[in-house]
Amino acid sequence: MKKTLLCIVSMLLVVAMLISCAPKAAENPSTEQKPAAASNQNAPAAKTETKTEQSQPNAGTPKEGGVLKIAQLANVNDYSWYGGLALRDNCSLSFCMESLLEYDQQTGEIKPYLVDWYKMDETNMTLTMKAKEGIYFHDGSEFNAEVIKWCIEYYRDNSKYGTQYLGNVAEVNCLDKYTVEFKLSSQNIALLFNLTNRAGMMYSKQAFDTYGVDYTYNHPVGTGPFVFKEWIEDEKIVYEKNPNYWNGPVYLDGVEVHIYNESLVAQAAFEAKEIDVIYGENFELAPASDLKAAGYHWQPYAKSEQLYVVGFNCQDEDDPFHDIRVRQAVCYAIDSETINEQCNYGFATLTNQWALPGSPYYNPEVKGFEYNPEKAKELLKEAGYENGFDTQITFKYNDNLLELGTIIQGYLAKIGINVKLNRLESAAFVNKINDWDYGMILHTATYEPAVTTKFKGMYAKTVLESTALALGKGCFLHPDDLDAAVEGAVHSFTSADEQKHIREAQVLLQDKYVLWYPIFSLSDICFVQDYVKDWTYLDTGLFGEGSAHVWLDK
Amino acid sequence: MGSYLIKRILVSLVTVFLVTVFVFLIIRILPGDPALVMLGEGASPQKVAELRAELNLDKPLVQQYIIWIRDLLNGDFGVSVTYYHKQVADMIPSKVAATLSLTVPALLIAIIIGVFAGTVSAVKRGSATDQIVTVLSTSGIGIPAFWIAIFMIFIFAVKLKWLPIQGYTSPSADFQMYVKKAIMPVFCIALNFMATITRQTRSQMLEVINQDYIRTARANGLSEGRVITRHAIKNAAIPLVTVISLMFRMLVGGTIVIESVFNIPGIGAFALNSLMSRDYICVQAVTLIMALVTIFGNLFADIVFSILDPRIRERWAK
Amino acid sequence: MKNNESTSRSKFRIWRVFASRGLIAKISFFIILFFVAIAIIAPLFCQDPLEQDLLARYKMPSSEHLLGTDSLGRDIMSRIVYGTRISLLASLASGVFAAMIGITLGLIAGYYERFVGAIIMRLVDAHLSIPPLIFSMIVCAILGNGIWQTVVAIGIGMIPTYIRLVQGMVLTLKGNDYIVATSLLGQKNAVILFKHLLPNCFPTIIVQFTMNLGSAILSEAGLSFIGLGIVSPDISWGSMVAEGYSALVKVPLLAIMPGICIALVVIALNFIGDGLRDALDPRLRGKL
Repeated sequence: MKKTLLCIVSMLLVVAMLISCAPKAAENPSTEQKPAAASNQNAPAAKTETKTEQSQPNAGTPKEGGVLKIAQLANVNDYSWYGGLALRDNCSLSFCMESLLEYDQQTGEIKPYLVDWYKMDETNMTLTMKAKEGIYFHDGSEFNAEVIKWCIEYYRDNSKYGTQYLGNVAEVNCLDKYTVEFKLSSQNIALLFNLTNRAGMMYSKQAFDTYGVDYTYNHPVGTGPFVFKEWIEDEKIVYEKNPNYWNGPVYLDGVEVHIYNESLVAQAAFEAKEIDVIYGENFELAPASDLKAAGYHWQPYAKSEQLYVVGFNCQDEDDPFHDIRVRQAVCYAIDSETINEQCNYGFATLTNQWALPGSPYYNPEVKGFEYNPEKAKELLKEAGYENGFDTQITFKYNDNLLELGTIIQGYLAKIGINVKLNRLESAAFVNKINDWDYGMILHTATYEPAVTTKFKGMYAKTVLESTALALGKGCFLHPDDLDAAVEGAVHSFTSADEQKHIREAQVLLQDKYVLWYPIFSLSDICFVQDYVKDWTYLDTGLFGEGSAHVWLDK
Repeated sequence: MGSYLIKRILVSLVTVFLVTVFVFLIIRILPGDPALVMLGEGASPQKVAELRAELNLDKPLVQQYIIWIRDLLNGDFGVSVTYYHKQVADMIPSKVAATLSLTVPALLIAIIIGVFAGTVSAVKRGSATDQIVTVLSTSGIGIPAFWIAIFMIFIFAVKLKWLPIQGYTSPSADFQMYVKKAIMPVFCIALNFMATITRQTRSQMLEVINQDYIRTARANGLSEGRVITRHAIKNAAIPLVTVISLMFRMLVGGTIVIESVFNIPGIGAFALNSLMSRDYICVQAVTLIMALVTIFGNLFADIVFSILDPRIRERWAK
Repeated sequence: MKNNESTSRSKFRIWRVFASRGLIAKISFFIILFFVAIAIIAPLFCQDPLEQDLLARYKMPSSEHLLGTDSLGRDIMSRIVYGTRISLLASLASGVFAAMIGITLGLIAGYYERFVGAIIMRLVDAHLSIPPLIFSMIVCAILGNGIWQTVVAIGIGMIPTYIRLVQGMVLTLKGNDYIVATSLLGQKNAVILFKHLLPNCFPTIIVQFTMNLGSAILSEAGLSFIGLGIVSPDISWGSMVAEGYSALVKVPLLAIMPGICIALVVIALNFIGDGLRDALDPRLRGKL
């Protein structure tokens, strides 16, 4: 009798201890957020600030040696340069692969990188460029016109994004050992930009010829500052210094990208200095805000701006969302401002369209929807759904989206709409992207600065006809005026023209057709230890050079 | 003995066959088109059809099953749908090794501590020790392993910083680090085993202690210690076999959540990730391997213990 | 007349033996009673567990929120109480589901030993060689998220234990004289199975059922923790632990409280099971 009582009492004591040991609650998020909000208003400006902040630790001469350890919270699937688009693969690939051109985040200019120069001839519809001499792949083969021709053609013909990015490249000819000429079938203003990305990435033709296509899935062979050494599944990817790097010097001995499953664990490892960088994809905002509060240096990854949007199934006539008033009601019922203030710890930017405030693609005339649940209920009543209805929201399974989905569920419950959470694993989600049965989709879409290509993939009728899977193919409306605006942008010859068409498309998309409800925009938040210097990849997204001159001040 | 062996092996083979059919069918019920998953967004319908033909998805089920079995017998477990197009057979051994490096020590610790605690508790029945052991062992069954894992991480890794939060180092690579990282996962895995074994040992020992031959041994003047070690434990051990053979399932399949929490690249985490990615080829392979380990483990244990206890053979002869 | 007397006497005896197991069994009984009670009267004293208040996230325990709020500003205590409902109901439902199918199949397997029984037992062997969580995971992946899907997934996993249990007992029992006599008298097999054999299996089944309730709760918690079982707006202890895990450093209470509840209920059920087993059939002590 006494013993059992003792056990129970001790258990209660333990519980009491835990309750009293609980640390202070998070500081009131709104006080944290206000200073950040000011700098987030104009996204490009914010990037300049962080860029100077990052380049300030330039003080001191680079020290040689050391291994950079990066924690990545997303598992790597496909390492082939032509395979996917995934940002998680880009981070690691950036150490060993390079692209033909580079995109300057500050000026928007596209500069030559692996090539000496490039020339776009609009009258003859050709793009000519000359490869830099003296660049060698990690396996010793030379980078020249033949390699460029092979890479571009292979990407165009074999990548799932080939048509989307390089579809207008009809022919590639080698004019001499180092000069290439692309013959274009039509104008695509995004072509040059695409060549700064995976589409322009150069893989060793010799490696492909020697080992075959299966080799490329897990052996990147490029021209970059580090050489791929090994890949232990679910654990880490290891790179070694490239002693013959053409754009040297390379200070580090190597780089390791470790795969982590839990944000909490990555946070602890970072605080313990076991890892030097947290690469932000899938890194939850709560531990991120803890690290930010603790004073660690953080910055958003420039090329990972993602728009958190709700999409509607408008095509299906049985679906309540077929009626534009229902879509508008949902837009009025969700309070994106409060969500952004309370849940994002100041990391995200509020926006009501597919562009960041301050970007040339942003149209201030888009009215958007303020939070007004009364109006939402009125609209539902008008549409004949006074008592609400049942629907579902489909999304890819990760914790951020689960929380957001639950919040949306809560808001819509207030106006009588019962939302079921349909969360799918990434593989199953991929199958649902073009037709998510009914209801809504909650998606994180990469967009800035490649808004034109994104719109082309979703609204251009010519593209939709030739692909099996495209976001919203079976669910969205594909009206002619939207198609015309997007095609107009794609076929523009100047950036100004392109941006004008896109701004037109924004108004159509958000105010006229209400295909989406944008909630906020967030890039992956990366944390970098103070002793990591000169890693500009996060600012520029530039493959190769962005990661070449990193050094550790230890 | 011979007929028992043959019977027992035949039964195992039938079970193996049933498991293969079951695994084959159940994976095909999983929603999602694997070819579409592999090629992803933006793939052309023609490429999808080509891949389906390549994966034999357009053939009738029976033919697909036969092709699969034929490949299995050749050691080809298939090429993963989502994991970088690698041969599944290449990926599995290291993962099984990682899991076993944790479950085997856990099971050993559980057996040693469990048998000891159960014996002591039975011998000192009714005393304070017995009460505490009973309460602890029944509690050990009830506490969810993943929750204890989180709790331990919170106390030992986050607050006290004595142990690393997660991860796995192979014992051959760095033994000291392996031990440090293995302490928490091994404890969490062992907890449930320990509790069950303690309870079972205790009840078995209680039964045995009350038997006539024990009384006789005591009456003959044997010391209590000798009585326990010479007679009681040996006889109580054999029914423990049933319990331990149930544990075979757990050797490879019971660590999914623990591996997920501690980020251990073992077979359980691999099964979970493959299932979540709808990588049906991997799920098939992993489930089958786990089932085979269990079936052959049980077969081996049964044969060994049938040598020790002829009564088992007799039961089978019926 | 005589039958009634003996059953009422035996029920009384069951309670007496159960109660004599000691304070632990009594405490466990009251713990379960307590959880069932709060689950039933939940709406009377709890706030809406789904009510979100984004301005009140992660608040510490206060007079308004006795255990604080979670990541969406929902009251933790209400969520635990409502989670009790679903956890208890789901485990009960899966136990009943497994028992009904398992007992029937077990009876058939034991009685028709030669052919049907052999097939059923081999299927059971095959089922038992697949690790239980993997099995439930696959079923959940096929069926999707939700309460009844989880019930089926967990229930299916528990069926083989019932089959083996009942089959073993039927094998022993059917050799008894009165069973042989009844069948010789021409009684239909179904009647023999359900009217004569089944009642003799009840004590063991009840003990197994109680133990299974506990493991069902653990399975549901594990499944929900890895994201497969219960999903919002339904609340379960396992999904609460999963939600709380990411806020472990900020507000450890979120993950720890539901875990304590799971542990308390499962341990209590185990003690009750032990007590019932001793009361109903002490011979089973080594076997269950």
